[in-house]
Amino acid sequence: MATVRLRGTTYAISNTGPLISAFQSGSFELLAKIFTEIHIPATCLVELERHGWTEEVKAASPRLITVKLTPSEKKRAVNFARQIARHPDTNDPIPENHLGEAESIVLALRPGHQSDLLLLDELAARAIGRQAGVRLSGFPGVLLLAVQAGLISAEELKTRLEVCRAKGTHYSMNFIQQVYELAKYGRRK
Amino acid sequence: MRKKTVHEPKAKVMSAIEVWDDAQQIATILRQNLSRAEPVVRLQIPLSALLSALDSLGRDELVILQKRVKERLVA
Repeated sequence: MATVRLRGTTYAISNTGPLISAFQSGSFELLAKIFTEIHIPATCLVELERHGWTEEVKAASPRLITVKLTPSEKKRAVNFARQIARHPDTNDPIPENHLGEAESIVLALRPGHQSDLLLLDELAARAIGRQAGVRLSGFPGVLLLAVQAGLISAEELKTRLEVCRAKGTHYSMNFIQQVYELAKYGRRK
Repeated sequence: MRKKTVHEPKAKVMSAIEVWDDAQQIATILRQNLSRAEPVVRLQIPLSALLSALDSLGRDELVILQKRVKERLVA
């Protein structure tokens, strides 16, 4: 069935990492408050299942949509994966390991997603996504927006990031403290 | 239950300052998209009026409505 979209809505396209952070910290509902739908490429679904998040994906399914790329989009994604693998900010030089991020970038570049946002945490992939003209945010940026919009408190933001860290996500204590201070006090000039 | 793991645990991620920029980026996009939405008015109407309004909806709108009702029923 073709997707019907209401005017004024914002969709997010997500890579695997930000969604795992959302599941780890019980934040998927928060994502669903901010974004009408969250779209992921098929490779990200495979990665989520491989990492044991199948139940969470099922529960999120009315708002979490898996999208198949066309053959030409897949080719384009392979090219992006190579660029990410070569980027100085990655410590994984194997292009195949970056296919999830690369497919997310390709999906976000579809004309229908021009007014949407890509969720991406990994530094190298963010650089390549930006170069390609995609507007993006990491998962912590969504939490910070949620604080600024009054949906959660700065303390809740901190707790959620700490839960992610405790469960193995790559947010350092220093990073969490800095994001918490931004949420609590704003950006100091 | 299957053990849950994370994706690329050693990957470098954005800095806190980038997180600030990310949040501003989302706010900008949400604002831009909202400005494209049709104007919204708040109305108090009897349920029967809402139900009869369904008759005027097209298939696409009904599909959206059906999806939202399903979500609310399982919540």
